[in-house]
Amino acid sequence: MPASWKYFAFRTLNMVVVLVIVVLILSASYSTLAERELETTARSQAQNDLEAAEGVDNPTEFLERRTEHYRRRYNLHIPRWQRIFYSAWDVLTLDFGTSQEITYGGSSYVIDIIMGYLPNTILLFTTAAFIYTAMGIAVGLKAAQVAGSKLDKFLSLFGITASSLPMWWVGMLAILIFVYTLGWFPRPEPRFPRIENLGLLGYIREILYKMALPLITIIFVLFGGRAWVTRNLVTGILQDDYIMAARAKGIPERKVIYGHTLKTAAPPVITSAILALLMSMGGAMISEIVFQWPGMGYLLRRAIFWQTDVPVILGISFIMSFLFIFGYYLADLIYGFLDPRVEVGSQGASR
Amino acid sequence: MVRLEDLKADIIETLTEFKRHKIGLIGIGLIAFMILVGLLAPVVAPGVADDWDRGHPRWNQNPSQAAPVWVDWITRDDYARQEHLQDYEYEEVERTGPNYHRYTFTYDMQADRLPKEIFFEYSGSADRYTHRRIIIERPDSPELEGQAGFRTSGNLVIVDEPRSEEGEFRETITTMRRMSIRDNLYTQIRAYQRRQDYNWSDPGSRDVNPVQTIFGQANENWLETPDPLKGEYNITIELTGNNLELDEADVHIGGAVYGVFGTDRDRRDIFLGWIWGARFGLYAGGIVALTTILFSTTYGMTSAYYGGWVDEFMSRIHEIIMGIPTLPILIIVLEFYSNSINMFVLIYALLMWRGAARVIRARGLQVAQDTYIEAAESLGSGSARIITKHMIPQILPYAVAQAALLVPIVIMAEAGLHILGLGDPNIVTWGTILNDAHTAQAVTHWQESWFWILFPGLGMVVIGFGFISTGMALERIINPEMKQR
Repeated sequence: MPASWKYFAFRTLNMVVVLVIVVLILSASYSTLAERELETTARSQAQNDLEAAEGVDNPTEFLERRTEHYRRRYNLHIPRWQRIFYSAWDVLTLDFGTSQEITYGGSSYVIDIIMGYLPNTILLFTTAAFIYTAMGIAVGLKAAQVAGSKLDKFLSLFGITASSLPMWWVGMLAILIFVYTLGWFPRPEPRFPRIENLGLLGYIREILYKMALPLITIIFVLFGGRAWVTRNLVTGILQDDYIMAARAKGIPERKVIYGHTLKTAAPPVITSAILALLMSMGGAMISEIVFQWPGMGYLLRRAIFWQTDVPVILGISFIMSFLFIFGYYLADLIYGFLDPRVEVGSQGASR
Repeated sequence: MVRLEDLKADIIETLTEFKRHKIGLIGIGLIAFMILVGLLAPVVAPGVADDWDRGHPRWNQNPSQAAPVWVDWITRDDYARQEHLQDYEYEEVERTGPNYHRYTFTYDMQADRLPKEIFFEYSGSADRYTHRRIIIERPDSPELEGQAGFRTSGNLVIVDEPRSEEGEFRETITTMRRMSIRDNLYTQIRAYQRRQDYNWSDPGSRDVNPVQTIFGQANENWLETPDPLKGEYNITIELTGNNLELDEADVHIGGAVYGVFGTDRDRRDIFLGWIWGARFGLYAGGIVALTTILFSTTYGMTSAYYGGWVDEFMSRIHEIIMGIPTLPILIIVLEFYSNSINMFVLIYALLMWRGAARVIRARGLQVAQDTYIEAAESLGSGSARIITKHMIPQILPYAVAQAALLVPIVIMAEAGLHILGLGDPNIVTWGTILNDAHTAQAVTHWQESWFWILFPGLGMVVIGFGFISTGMALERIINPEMKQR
């Protein structure tokens, strides 16, 4: 189908353009600070060389020569706009440099550190996402079927309330009540249990126990909104003429819901679920700090706390941007795949 | 321009419609209430945003982590209130050598939950040398012995120290902050215990709570978990010195309950900060909402009205903006440039209109095809007139509904940035208060910090509920297809 190839190519191009723009914005914002730091480093390294060298005839000249040498090494001799492109390239090739304060598994390369923390975020966040999306869609469908009923009204109220809850604040309350007052869950700690001491089953049990409260919190906060959005999308479709026609023809309600309605509802429901997932990533990162869950948000808080850890902050920002942009791209592709009516161009954007 | 009468008629019509949406009405009420709170902040709590720094003298006489004052009304226990002791007797003895001044304050303690603090303050001037003593005469007058052989005839000596002083001096003594007070009390009570020959528990001087001990019954729990001893206490501040002149002396009792929302660990009144939190939150949310209405309407209308290649080009730009992730940009800019709230507002204003713009454009395309637009065109109306007179009134409610949904998102994001360590340090928002609670590990003690965590978040929930329900009701009114069957 040529049309869908066109769609695919168009979306890919769009993603690449966005990615390049975002990386340029990131490295441009970062270059001022990096320049200042590198100048200081070059000067202090030249000073070190001077102290190490013996019998220098002209110390001032030596210092200048060495400083120039290091400035060249750090690309400080070229104009800033060029350096922005260089550092953008570094970022795109995942070369973020090294961290001064944080190490992971003995490595202080930023990419190693991030790759060490990222799986923990994915573990918590993706598990939660699967559960709350499934629950949200199921409950939303049910509510749409019985629109106007008590369940439906309660869901609306719950959806609005849950949407106005900051997830990390609910997390703080949950820790206050369920960990320290009632003692039902373990104390939040950034350390994970070690598999060597527990065996596989014991390890999984420990992880689940540790994960339980953050998981319940995320699901509690996000599931209401998801169910509500699903319900609104489906009730909208249920009012369409062809559904009325199907009902009038005497097609059983079950078939109307699961056959006709779901077919139409699937693309927006799935796409909006993916997008909501991407959007809630930020909230989940802050929750990680509250729950002391050793993921990206926790790492970011540490890097910001240390002030000097610019490469880590840049690295996390890029990885987050990349996950977001790529997720957005995937959501678009899935939408196009599920809903063949989507066209490229202005019509496509108006959905 | 949009004719004012038309706009007024539209607004009145929308408001009449609103009456049928109960949740929307509640939402409008909540928004109005919070806006009022925000507007009144400089009147109710002047200067609080500037004084919110840790250790600012403004909060010096408050108790630390005291519960809200209404806890006293809803529980059976009687909580000690914040008090400035007014009744005192003054005694001054002029002598050729050192003269001495003595202030004796009376405090009637009738609470089950003991005060959290006692603050002593005095100022004056002296030639060279002064000696300060603070003595507490309890209703039960136990046979106590002071330290270093001082006979104090049944009173607790909590401060007894010489000072070298020349000229003016001013001192504030806070019971919980002075290690020496705790140690003095411990020594005296242990000596008393030994004479009584009781088998009393001894937690060690480190775990003695000085204020609780001062107001505790002389029994086996005295040092560890004192039972309140009700009655009249005489608190004496006694200063001796050469040519000593005292300007004033003051005693404040730090309540077990304080203020509408209690106090945080640094003695700040949470309610006063909360009011300013509403102000700053609504400031950020309001500006982003206004710019969203402006940008998205301008964008959507231009794109929809001109159509063709203009629409095509603008849609491409829009798709690119749509894909820009907000949080990483925020992190980089706030960390490396400036973490002021205005920078945050600027970034959000530049990025957040994109969602609304899509809705506006889609709606604009529908309106542009309406027959009356065609009629207006054939009557010779210019494009500016058609856009402002015919299209904008049709579109504006959509933009308003979208912008209303944004306000809580902005407020929550701002608060979250404080947890990340990227919040504006010069203001106080709900995020500032919650971040303090988080870094102080407030989550570990229910009794002393539930109010510290609960109320700032509740502010966000109230504003969130208000704007989301209003926005939803507005959407239902302008887009009746969304109504339930």
